[in-house]
Amino acid sequence: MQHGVMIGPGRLAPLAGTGTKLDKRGGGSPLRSAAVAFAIVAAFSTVCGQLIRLAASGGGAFQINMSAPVATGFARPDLVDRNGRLLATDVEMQSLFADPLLVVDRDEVVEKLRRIFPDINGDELRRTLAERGRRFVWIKRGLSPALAQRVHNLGLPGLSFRPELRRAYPAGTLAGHLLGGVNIDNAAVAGVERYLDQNEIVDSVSGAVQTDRRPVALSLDIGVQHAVEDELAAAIETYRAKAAAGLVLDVETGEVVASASVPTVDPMHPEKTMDARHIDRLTGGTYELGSIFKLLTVAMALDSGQAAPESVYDVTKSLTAGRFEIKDAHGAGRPLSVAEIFVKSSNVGAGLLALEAGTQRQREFLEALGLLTPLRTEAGAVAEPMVPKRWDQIETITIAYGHGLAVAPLQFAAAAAALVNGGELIQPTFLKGGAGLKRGATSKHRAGGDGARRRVVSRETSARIAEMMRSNVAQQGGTGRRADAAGYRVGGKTGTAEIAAGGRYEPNAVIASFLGAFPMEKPRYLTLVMLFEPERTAASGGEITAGHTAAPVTRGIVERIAPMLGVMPLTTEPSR
Amino acid sequence: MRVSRTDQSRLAQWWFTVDHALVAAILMLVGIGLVLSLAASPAVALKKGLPAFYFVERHVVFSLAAVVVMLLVSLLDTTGVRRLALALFVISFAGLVAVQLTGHEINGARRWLSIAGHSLQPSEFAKPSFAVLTAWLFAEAQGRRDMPALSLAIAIGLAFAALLVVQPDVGQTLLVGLVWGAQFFLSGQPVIAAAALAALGAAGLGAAYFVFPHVASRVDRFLVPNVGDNSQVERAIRSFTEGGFFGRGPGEGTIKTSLPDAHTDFIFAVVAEEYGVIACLALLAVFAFITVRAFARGAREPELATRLAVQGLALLFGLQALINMAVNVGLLPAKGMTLPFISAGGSSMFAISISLGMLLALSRRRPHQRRLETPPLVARVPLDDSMGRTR
Repeated sequence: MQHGVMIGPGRLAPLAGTGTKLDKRGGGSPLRSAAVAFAIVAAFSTVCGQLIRLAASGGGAFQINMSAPVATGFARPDLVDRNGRLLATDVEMQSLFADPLLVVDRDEVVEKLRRIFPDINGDELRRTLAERGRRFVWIKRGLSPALAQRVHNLGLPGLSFRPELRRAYPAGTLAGHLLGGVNIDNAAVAGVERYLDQNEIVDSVSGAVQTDRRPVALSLDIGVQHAVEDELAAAIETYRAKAAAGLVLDVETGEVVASASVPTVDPMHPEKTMDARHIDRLTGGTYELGSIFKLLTVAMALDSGQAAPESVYDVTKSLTAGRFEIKDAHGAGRPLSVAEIFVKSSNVGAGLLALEAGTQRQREFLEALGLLTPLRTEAGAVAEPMVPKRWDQIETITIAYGHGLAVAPLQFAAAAAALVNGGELIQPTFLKGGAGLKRGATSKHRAGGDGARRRVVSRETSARIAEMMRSNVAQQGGTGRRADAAGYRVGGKTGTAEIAAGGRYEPNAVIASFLGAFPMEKPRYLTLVMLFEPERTAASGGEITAGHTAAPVTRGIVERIAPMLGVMPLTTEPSR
Repeated sequence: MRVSRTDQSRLAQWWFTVDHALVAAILMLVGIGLVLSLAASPAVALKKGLPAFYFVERHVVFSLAAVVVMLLVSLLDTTGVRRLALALFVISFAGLVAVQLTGHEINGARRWLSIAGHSLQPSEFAKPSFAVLTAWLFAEAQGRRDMPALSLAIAIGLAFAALLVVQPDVGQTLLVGLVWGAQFFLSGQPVIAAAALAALGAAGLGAAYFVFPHVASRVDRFLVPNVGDNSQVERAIRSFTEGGFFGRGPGEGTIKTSLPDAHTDFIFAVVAEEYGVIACLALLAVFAFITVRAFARGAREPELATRLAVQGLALLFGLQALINMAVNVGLLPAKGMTLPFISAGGSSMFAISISLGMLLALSRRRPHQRRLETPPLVARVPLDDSMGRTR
């Protein structure tokens, strides 16, 4: 029996009463419909589940915002000096951008913006705004609230702001070389700022999110730094020098209390440090430092026991090595003791001492002082020492009085510090407490960075060197007379190095340096003052030598900074 | 709308017999589609160098036309629907053949027919008419053994599938094959036969993997996401995770600027990114509601041909939405399938409206049937005998 629908050819109308029965055989059971319906519901539920899974898995974990392709910047901790005074901080500022698609009238936008920012390149901006495919174009970043308000008040559609962190240096150009600087995304480009980046003391952020890291304390003292920079700037005026540099180093800890190179740079424009005139002369270049090197030669001679301060050398004859002849310009006309060689700064005497020690010993001694290998500090690599390829008798003689081996002044100062602090080599650091040492920034010759310092000369040698430095300043006839800051027991050594130019030395172009230390009965601070190419002026009595230029500058500096550093002035010379 | 029960006009009849909930759900979907076209398509239009609202305007026009077409089709009675289906199938089948002869390739497939400056996709129109026709044939196969209805159903099924495969359009083939198979199963054919068919279909998919390099590559990329560039789907999936439950907010989405098919195949991902997965779930719920309600209503339909047609059309609609969404969320390899009423595109929109129009027409309540199913106050009697019908 067939109980199907009566369907004539082409007649599709269902007939009444054909309902229930046909399902029995012909139409499949309701069970089959239920099965298919179940499958559909299951499929929809699967998609449902996947949707929920995806939404839950994301949780906004990674945010990619196409409308802000350069939104990530860095949040940096504050930089403070050793007493907690602010040197650098992050400030929230507004950055102006445009969505070219939403800009209604390009010309109006360019016109009105140029009234607020005259330095905007109008043609370029007009072209950029014409690119409708771009949805995000920076116009000006890091606007002050007042400027941002002015732009906002223009009411131009398509312009918008994004808060960003910008680095601010409240002390202006103070310690600019050392601080370095950051780029437009608040990432470091130089100096201690770069140290922060390299050691991941910064946070990558999107927008203006301040970091909650503790401020990083530098070894600098803002007051000392300012005094040094101020005195150097004045010295440039007085002696008509091309540039000047000054360093104050704690010989006990290696902390750099002040580090100045004039002309200064603004950390807001760190790119200027690349300019030869603005380089940091303490770390960015190497120089033949001249007679201040005799400090090392004398220390070497005393330490090995080959000579005592009283030992006498005949400096009346000139020294010859190969085709070179070395003689003292203003010879004493009599044999001199080692102490006298130091005070009178005899090139022949230094040469004799070095020759006596020998090339090998000289090389080992300078190596031990870390002067032959590159030095690193938290502010980056210091310019590598220019070690002569040939190091024979003639080099031994010239290096003895500071020519033939060019080093960065900071590196020299660190070596000199070891000669006055009792004989232990220190690692110069720009962080308070020298925290940077732990980061492996030490060169291999600064062995035992944590506490265990390496002895390079004996305590006795160090004491004798200190005595000589003090007498060079205190005694009548010493080259460092003009550095004698009343009551602060300054000691030191002058150095007037002719600058090599075009293969020969220029007698009137010199680097006048004074390596000083105070208080001499127990030296705590080392100073290095350098004047680059001073001229013969009335103030220097028509001289360009360090004794007439760098030495008085050192006195001015010491008189200002000693009170800040807690060094008491004394009316009588204390005994050691 | 105020219509009197005594009104015997066609419109009044329609109003009292059509499934109001279904109509409401569909109109809601159209409305959602209008809103969402604003989300995705301006970005795509700008990228293609068209006016920003090019696709939005088209979507509005198509949507309105589609609603009118749907309502007009739903006014038909069952006879009318079958005639329409037959005519449409003949025309679109011819179109499918013509596509092979004249059509130009877009993205490596011949799918589009250009008529008077408008491009049409015949396969979209063939789908609903095919579902209605096969329903009729399967019912015939059950009812009348003297007609080679089953053979005919298999024949046109294979012919349609063949034309889709040569395009090639594996996604549509799969969709049509699934609906055809479901109808075969629902019509009461032996379960073993249905199982055999399912196995055959699986084998066909396997063959597609080996025959079509683009299928193979898509499946490979789906199974092993690292192989090759799967960026469209990957990007789409990411928009679900990034959008989270609540989304970035209207207009804040980014995927629409990076996906070429953001306004068509991947609009679901755009919705997820801007409005959140909650909105996606709501949208999915609307699709599920329409599908399940239509399917269930079909299941109660006493006449087999009508029942299979309604169920087939419901499946067609639901599976298309499902496949699209499954691709978007990364459950299926990528295939060109639009999201009904939400994706941009005229062919798809009109085909869906005809499809749903036929569904609404066939699922309209026919009171006389209901009365005869359970006659009031009359004891159940063998109907055919009492009606004195003969065979």
